[in-house]
Amino acid sequence: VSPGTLYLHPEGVWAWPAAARDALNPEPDRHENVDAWCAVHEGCDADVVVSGHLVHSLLVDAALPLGDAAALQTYARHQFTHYHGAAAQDWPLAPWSVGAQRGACALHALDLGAVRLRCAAHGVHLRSLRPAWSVVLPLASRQAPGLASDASTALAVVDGGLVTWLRIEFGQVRALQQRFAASNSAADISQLLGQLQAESAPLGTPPVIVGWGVAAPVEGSAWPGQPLGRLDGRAPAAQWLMATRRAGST
Amino acid sequence: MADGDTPGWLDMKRWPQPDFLAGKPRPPLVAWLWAATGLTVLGLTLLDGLALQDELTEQDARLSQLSEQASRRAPRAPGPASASPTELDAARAATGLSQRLAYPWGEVLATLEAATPPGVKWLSLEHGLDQAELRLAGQAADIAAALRLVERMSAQPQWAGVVMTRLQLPEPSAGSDNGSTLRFELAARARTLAPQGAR
Repeated sequence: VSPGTLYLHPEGVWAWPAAARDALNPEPDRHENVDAWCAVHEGCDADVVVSGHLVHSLLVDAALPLGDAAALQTYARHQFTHYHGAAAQDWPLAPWSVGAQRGACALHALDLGAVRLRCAAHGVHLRSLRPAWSVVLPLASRQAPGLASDASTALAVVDGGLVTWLRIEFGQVRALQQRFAASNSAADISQLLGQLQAESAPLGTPPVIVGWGVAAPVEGSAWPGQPLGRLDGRAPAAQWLMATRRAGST
Repeated sequence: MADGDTPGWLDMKRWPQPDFLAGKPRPPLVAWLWAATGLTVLGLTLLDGLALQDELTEQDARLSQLSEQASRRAPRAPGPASASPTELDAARAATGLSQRLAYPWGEVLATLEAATPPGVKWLSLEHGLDQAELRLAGQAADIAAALRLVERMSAQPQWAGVVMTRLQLPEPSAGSDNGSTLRFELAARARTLAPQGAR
């Protein structure tokens, strides 16, 4: 069964059917929750992308001597607990490592057990459940090759008023921040992006901006960087969450 | 070197791939095989264990059955009824021997010595299966000494039925130096410690 793609946001679930991969600009369906989607997609496979609003992300200093995945997991758990309190003890973690780069994400506002349970109840097979920025990054790098080059740059994933800022060097993530703007207005987000850029080490090329949920009007804003596609969609454009024909086959 | 034209993005693996479903590393095929092997071994062990348990129960039942049989036979087994005549004789002889050994001979002899008057010498002491019945043979210097012996023994509480059964007077033609001695035999029943003495 072809997999559907779901985007989980605090305000609801957006879903693209498997056929969306072949469409030009497929529009997502909105569902109240995962259960509602599962109810009409019995037996389907599902790739789930979770909004930055549901996730905390952490980049680990490459110099830290963390021997293996278990050590990374333990360290990440300790860090999340240190910054977010005892509740973080139970958050599902998603550690990752690419070469010397390591990091971890924590699912702080989604009951993963319940999601699994609802999916299982409808025979839906969960194939993956990943934070949005990690799905957007490789797909954006197809349209902005600078992200994969030796140049130092940044990717800003704008999700309403939340910005996930990834500083990229030599095609590697060197810094990762999640920051809230004063609002989801273009002006406030633009201001935050400028601030993040100023705080970063000087970038070789302007930051790449991918996003959705920015309050209109967006036109006329002086974005401190290179926006890819529109930023005011209610949900992410399909091209940022799945390898669509248009983006993936070029 | 690479100037950005290199399609590095083709290699998706170079970017972070956090996945909450992979948080617990997906078990590789080998792990599943191991798990299956483990489960198989566990199952077989369980079956073995159950079989052994059954066997144990069966053995227990057999054991209790056998011990029941044994206890039913036990009263007859050591009894003489089941023994052969040879075994019976041997057992009887052994019992007799142990009884003779257990008899207080020391006391009997001490009593006898105390009753022995001067001029009397003992030659032999015999007893039958009933140790209380003794046949004593000895030499006495004269008849008076022999009679005195009988008299003294009869006076002792340890003896009963002291009877002179034979008295052989010295023959004039016998040896010169032993010419004056006479031989005697007497029967007596010791009732020192033997319970038979009460008869």
